[in-house]
Amino acid sequence: MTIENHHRRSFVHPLLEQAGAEFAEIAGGNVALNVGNDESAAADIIRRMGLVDLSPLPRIGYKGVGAPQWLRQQSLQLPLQANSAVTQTDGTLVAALSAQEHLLLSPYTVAAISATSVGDASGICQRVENAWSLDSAAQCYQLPRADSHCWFAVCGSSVGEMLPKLCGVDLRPHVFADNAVAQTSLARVNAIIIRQTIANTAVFHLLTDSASAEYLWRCLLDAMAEFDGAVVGLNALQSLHND
Amino acid sequence: MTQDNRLPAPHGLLIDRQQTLTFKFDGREYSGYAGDSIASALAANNVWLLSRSFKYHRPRGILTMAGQDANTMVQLPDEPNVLADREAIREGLIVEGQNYNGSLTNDRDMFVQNFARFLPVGFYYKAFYKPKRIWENFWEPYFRKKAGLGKVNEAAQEQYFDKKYEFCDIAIIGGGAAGLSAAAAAADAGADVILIDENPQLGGALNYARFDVEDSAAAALRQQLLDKIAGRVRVFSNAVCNGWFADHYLPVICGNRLHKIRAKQCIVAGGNIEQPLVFHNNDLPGIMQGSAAQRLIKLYGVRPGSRAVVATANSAGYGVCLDLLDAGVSVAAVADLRTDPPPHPLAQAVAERNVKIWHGHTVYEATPTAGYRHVSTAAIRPLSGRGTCSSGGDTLECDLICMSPGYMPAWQLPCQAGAQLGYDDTRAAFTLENLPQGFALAGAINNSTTLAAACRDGRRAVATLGYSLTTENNDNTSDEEAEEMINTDWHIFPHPRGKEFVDFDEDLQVADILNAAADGYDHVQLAKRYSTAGMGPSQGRHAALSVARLLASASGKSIAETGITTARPPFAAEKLGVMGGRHFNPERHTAMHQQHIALGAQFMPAGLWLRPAYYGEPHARQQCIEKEVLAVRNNVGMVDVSTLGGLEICGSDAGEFLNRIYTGSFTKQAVGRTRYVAMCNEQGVVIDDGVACRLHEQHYYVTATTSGVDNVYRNMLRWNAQWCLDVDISNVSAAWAAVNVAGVKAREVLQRAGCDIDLSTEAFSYMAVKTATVAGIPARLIRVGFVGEMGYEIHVPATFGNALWQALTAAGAEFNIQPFGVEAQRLLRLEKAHIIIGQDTDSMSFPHEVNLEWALAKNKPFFVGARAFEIVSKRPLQRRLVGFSLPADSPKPKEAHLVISGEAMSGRVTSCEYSPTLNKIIGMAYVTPQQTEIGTTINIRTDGGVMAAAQVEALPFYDAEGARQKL
Repeated sequence: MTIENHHRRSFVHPLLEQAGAEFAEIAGGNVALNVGNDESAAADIIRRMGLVDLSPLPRIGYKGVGAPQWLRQQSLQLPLQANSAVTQTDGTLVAALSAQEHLLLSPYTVAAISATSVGDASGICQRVENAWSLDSAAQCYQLPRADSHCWFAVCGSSVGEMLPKLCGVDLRPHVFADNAVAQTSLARVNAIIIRQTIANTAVFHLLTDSASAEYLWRCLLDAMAEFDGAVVGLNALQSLHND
Repeated sequence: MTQDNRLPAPHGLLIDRQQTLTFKFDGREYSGYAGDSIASALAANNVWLLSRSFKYHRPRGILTMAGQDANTMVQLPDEPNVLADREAIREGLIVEGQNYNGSLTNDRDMFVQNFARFLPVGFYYKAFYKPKRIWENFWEPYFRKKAGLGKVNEAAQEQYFDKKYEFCDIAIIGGGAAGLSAAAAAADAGADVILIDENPQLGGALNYARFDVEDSAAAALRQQLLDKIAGRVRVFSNAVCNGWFADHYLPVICGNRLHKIRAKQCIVAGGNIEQPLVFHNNDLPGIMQGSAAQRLIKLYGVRPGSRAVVATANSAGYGVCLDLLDAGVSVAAVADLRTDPPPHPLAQAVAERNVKIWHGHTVYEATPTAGYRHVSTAAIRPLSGRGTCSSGGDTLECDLICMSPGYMPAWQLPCQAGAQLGYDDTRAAFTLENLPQGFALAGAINNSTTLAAACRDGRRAVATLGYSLTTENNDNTSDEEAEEMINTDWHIFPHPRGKEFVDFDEDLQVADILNAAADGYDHVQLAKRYSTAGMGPSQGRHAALSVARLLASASGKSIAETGITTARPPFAAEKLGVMGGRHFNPERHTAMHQQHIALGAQFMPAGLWLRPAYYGEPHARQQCIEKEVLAVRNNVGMVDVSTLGGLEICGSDAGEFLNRIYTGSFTKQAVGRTRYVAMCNEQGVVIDDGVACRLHEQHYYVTATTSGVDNVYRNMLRWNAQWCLDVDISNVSAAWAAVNVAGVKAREVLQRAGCDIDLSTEAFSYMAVKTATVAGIPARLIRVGFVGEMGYEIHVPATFGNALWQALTAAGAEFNIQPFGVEAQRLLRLEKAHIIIGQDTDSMSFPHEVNLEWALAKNKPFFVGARAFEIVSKRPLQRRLVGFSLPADSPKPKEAHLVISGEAMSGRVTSCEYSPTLNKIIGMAYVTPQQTEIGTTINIRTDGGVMAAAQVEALPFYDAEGARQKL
């Protein structure tokens, strides 16, 4: 067997399978492109209240005294202050969790990541991961965020009403603006929350303990039910970019 | 029954006459309209008896129509003590009375009121204790049977509750004129506002009270204010703010949801609470507060009676009178407690409608119909002094007495916020002073009772919070109408036959409060506890003023000095479900969880993790475990060990850090080798263990126990905050999935799975660690022997965990690989005498007690706990962990069973199981040093007190040389 036989599998893969997800290999992971809805229905859902699993996509973290300098050496633009994020030219999101800790999230639209596959250094996450070693990056330590954290995105006009059912942080846009980062608790699980807006639709990235992914997934579905929210695939997220 | 008391529109703001609903009360079917409360619908059907009082079982009916009293408590199928004047009817609803013996209309326990003189306040502190044992043999069973109100339905369906956070600049509690005005002004000033109101529709008294003769001002103002806030203010209706907590944290209950509101500032516009007049039989059905009658008329379109007497001490009572007249109720008289009230348009209008007005009079007593089921007459007497009446006046037939003698400000939330309650003698009213920062009052609660004053006060409140009012809102004109005095200075009229109720909840009469003071409990806090005044469901809302006045009178203190009791949250009764909210019970699954389910695993919790205990049916538990154990011993097994804690320790000082934090020595540990680690706390007690794998000069991968890793991680961060070593610590427990393949065929399985390194003993010896790929998956391979067989712990990124399990399953198929669970793993390690921290250790287990001396590095200057251990180790040993065995057919000891020496306990069992490998029962136990010698017999008291004589054995029980794990 070779690694090509095994793609990164989401922590909620079985739940997505049960929901009728169609998977595709993207950037080394089995990503759910569609989940039981036709294209137009999914596009409506994500504008109202959609949940997307991005867990199979690349992400990585670095921390340590030398981490900011080393990341800059990799041509990354870093946020100016902690608890904020900045988008790189290719769509990669770099979030500063502290002055010395950064989280890199790969682009999450099909178009942006289609050029990226495992081993292809064109993706920033992969390129940086390939470049890093303990010997080459002084006082910069790598964190396996793709495995330690699941990555969900909740999107839509009702998401601002839904998240306060799970989280005690004020996530309203005038307080928690685009590219703001909160390190908090979500349904009693530690979470990193990052806000973005795509085509006037709020997108919250939720990164939490991967072992608790199924638990949190169910919590989110329960909280979303009030708003007729549903699980959608990556294609629905992509549709926001088509607006 | 028909709704005989129903008034035509426009009466009935809240009801939808197009939707008729039927429901049952006390076994009879009634109809009402959508929007009706249970109480209003029953009143429409001329049903006034809703409940029985707590102590005397007297009939009780509508008092406030505001969900503020215990009189309307009824039983629903799934819920006791429901407020009938708050709960809406729905089709098919079944409502019952509660707290009666017999039936609601004929309660046999009402005889108790005939013995009231033998049940004075505090009687339960004085009685029931003599003769000896009468309490437990008679009184306690009797009271247990009688105690309580409604009944909990233990078979009730669990409901869905949840919680939600909200944030705002200003939270305004109270949606009346002042609250609405404040909300509009705050929104104009750019504030983000949440407006909270306990009623179905905003407006407060604007919805039911009468402020002018034409009765048009309130509705017009309400609409004007609603238009101003529309779309600009978040409105929570039917929502009760149940407390004020520091930093303006407000729990607001709305249905089954608890909103946790974090406001920057807070305005309470909660209005006043109307107080009852205290006179003989003032609790009869048909006697209600004036505002209750108005709510029935205006909100629900229900005529509250046919012939009324109004007792009042302010203009509001005249508004009640006009509303009654407009609703077709004949008003027999108005008893105005004021001798010479100032002229008021409402009073003038009443006089013009030929209603007899008795100034300087009060309702002194009421007489009931048969069975005390309703009021039948009101005796109006002239006041002769404070609380006394002279003869004269009249006794009038009536079926309704409306009481409007005065008010209390809704003091609860302000006082919780730190405001102080004062008493204004000139106004005979309580006041709220010394408000905390960011907190304001508005409206009637702030003694602004006219409409114009209330609105202006709402705007002023916003300004006091630091907002600049718009020109439109910056209104400094004074009110044309002078603020009237809304309270009389005395509203309590003791009666020779008592039954003039001060606190309806607990059937407390005037004499009860006075007797409490006479017994020495004249401080309001003591009197509360002695008499139970204010301790019932309405929490003193309608008793506070009366109790304060009575105690002040009895003690000679002023009312301001007397005060009222502390009003702690919750403001209103709240359900445990609301407090509990949704069930957030985090649960962690390994990457192979679904595989375990497919294999029929029975799960057990390990901290937050779910781990397979064993694979198979519960009824065959023991066989399943033994099968799994034997498979590992004789062939090969695999166990999911992903839940192990995983810590990455990186940096130039990583070795030194481990040297300090763990008991062993690590600086000279070779890259590619692993070492056992044991961690002590500052007291020298063993608190965790694992292995440290050196992957690089500056990189260790350290495992920790499943449930201990978070504590280990915290300890590491805490210690390094002091040591400031060049080291980075990361908890990567969830990032790595791990499988331990163990057994004589483990190497073959791994080879078959496709491992890209030489697995021979020579190339990959016991306690080595290597990075490799297994089935193409990047992995860290660790040769450890927790279960005592040749084994490989394969750690892979969690996203490949499922793939690894599948690959090993496929590769192991031809070797009959057996998945095994925690139970088998624990038995296998017991055979090897490997301790489990937390099971074989406790909070006082030192290394030498659990045979870990070998894990202590002797030649290093420091490790956490070293100094404490040095001291402890010089003391005589108190106990030691030893192995023991018993024949297979012996009684099997369990964990925590005691080791007995003579009559004394000399130790306890920590682990014990039947070993299919050894065909005997084996275990470990703490024993005294004198019992540690091999071959010593120790007596263990097993279940049922059966003693088992066990032999102390050398450890480990299995493969003492450790040859099998080193194959």
